[in-house]
Amino acid sequence: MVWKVAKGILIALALVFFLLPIYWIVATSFKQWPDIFAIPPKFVFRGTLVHYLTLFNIRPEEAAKFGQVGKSLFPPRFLNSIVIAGVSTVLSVALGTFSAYAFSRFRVRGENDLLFFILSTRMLPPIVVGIPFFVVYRALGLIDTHIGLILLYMTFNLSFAVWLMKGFIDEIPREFEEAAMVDGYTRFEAFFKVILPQALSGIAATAVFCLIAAWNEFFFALILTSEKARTAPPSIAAIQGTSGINWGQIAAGVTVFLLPVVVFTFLVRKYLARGLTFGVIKR
Amino acid sequence: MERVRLEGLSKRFGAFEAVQDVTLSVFEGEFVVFLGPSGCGKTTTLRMIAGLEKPTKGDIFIAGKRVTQLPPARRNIAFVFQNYALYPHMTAFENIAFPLEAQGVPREEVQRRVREVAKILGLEHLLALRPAQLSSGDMQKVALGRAMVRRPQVFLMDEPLSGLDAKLREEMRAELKRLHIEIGATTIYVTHDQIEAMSMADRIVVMNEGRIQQVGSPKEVYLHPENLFVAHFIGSPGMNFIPLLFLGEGRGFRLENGESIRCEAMEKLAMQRGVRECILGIRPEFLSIAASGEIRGSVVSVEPLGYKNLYAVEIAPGRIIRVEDMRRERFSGNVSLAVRWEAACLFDRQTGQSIR
Repeated sequence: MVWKVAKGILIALALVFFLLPIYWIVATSFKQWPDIFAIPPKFVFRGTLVHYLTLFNIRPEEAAKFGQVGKSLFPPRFLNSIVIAGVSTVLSVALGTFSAYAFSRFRVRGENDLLFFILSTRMLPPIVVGIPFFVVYRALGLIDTHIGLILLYMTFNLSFAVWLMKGFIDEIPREFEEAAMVDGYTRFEAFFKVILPQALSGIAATAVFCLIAAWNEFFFALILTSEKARTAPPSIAAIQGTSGINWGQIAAGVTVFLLPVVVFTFLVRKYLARGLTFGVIKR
Repeated sequence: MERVRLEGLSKRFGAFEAVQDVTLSVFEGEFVVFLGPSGCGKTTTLRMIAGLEKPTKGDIFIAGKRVTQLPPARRNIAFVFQNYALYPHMTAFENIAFPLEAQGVPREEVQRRVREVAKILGLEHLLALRPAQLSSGDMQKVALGRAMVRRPQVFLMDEPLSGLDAKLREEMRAELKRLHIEIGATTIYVTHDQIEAMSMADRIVVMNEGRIQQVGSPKEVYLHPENLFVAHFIGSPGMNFIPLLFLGEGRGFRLENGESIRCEAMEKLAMQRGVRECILGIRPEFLSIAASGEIRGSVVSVEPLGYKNLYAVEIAPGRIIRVEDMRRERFSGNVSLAVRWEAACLFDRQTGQSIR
C-alpha cells in the first residue's frame, strides 16, 4: 500500500517534470501579452486566440500590435516541414526495410562490416559535417531545395531504419516467404504479401523515430535553407518583432508544431506497443 | 513412372559438404522417406528439390523436366514445413486458398476446392479462424490443406510431425497414411524418427554425412542393412555388433572371449569374400536366452517393458549386447544366448559394408 502510494507520487512527479514545459508553452500560446510576462505566473487567465490568428495570417492587422512587420512566414514553412519530414520518413523506412530484408535473408559478402559502416554514419556529431555538406550542396545546387533536405534527412535516418528493421525482420521466420515462394509467388510478391504484413509493427516504430528526427531537425535546416525550403524549427526560433521576441506567437508555433507528431504517434500506437519491445515478437 | 529424379546432387556450404552425390528416382504415387540423424543432409536435399537451395552440382528432374534452375514457384510442388509456416495474418481459409490465388483460379473454384480439401481433412468448421486460434494438430492440417489444394506434382514434407506431442503424432501418422492412400500423391518426407519412416514409407532413403547409405523398403533396411551405420541407426535399440575373427571354412569364427562359434552359411560368405575380420550383426529380438546357446555372457541389467524384457548382456569385457526375451521370468547371472542365424548379418570390419 505504501509502495503503491509512493509509486503514484513518483509517477506524478515525473509527469510534472516532463509535461510542465509543454503546459507552459501551450498556456503561453493562449495568454494575452501582459499575462505572458506576469510574475508570479498566472494559472488562471483570460484566453485569446490572437497569437494563432496572427501566426496563420488570419487577422494580419493584429500582428502589427506585436511589432510584426509584414506577413507571418509560418504557414508555408510548416507545410515545408510536413513535406520534407514526411517524404524523407517514407523514403528511409522503405529503403531501410528493403535493405534490412536483404541483410536478413541473403548471404551478403562482408555483411557485418557493411552494417557497421552503415551505423558508423551516425557516430559523428552532425555539426562536424555541417560545413562540408554546405559546400557540397552549394556545388550541387541543393541549397534551399526540398529535395536537398529530404535527401539529407533520409541519409541520416537510413542507418537507423536499417538496423531497426533488420531486428524486426530477423524475427520473422524465413519459412513464411519460402512457403509463399513454393506456393507460386516470386520473392518480391512473397515479400509484399507475407513479410510486410508481419513487419508492420516494426515499420510503425521505425517510422515514428525517423519522423521525429526529421521533424525536429534544426541545425541543417538552418544552414542549408533560407526561404523556399526552410522548415518550421528555424523559422519558429526566428519569430521576432521590432520590439523584441514575440513569445506568444512562438508558443503558438511550437504548439502547432507539436501536433502532427502527437497525432501520428497516436495513430500507430497499436503497433508501437508491440514494436517498442524489440525482439520479443511472439512466434 | 518416374516423378522425381536426382542426379549427382551435391551441396556445399562454405567448407561443409552438406549433400554429396545423391542420385535417386522417386516414382509416381510413391511415399519416400529420407531418414537420418540431424545434419545428415536430408533437409538440404529436400530444399534443393523445392528450389529453396541451389545445388552446387547435379540436376533435378520433376515429371521429366529439368528444373534445377527454376524458382520454387515454377516447379509445381508443395512443401510442408516443420513449423507449418502458416501466415498469421490470414484465416485458415485464406491460408489454404493462397496457392490458388497465385495461379489466378476464379473465385468460385477457389471456394469449391478449399472446401473440398477442408472436408477431406475435417477442417470445415475452422476455416474462419486464424492460425493463432488453432491447436497444433489443426495447424498441421491447414498446412497439409495448403499443400493439397493445388494438386502438385510432388509433396515435400520436412519433419511435419515433429512439433506435435506423442499422442497427436501417432494420430497424424495414421492420417497422413490415409491421405496418401486416398489421393495417391507422390510424397518425399524427411524425418529423423525411424518409427515414422518405418510406418509410412514405401521406400526409405537412409542418409548420413551427406550421402545416401541405403535405399530400400522398410523391411529391407531393417533386415538387410547395407552397412554398419544403417544397421545401428535403424531399430531401437539398434543392431548388436559382435566382432568375429574368421578362422577358415569348417573351423568357424572366434569370439572376443576366445570361444568359437559355427555357422556354415556365414563361413561360406566370409570364405567367398576372403574377409578375415568380420562383425556379426544381430538384432536384439533375434537373440534369445537359451539353455545351450552359442554365445555365453552375464546379465548386466534388465529393462522390463511389459510384454518383453530387454537385457544387457556382457559377452566379453566391455562388450555389452542387447537381448530381447518375451518370457515372463527374469534371468540373471551367467546365461547363454541362442542366435537365429537366418536373421543375422555379416559385415566386413574394414569397410563396414555388409557381406552378402
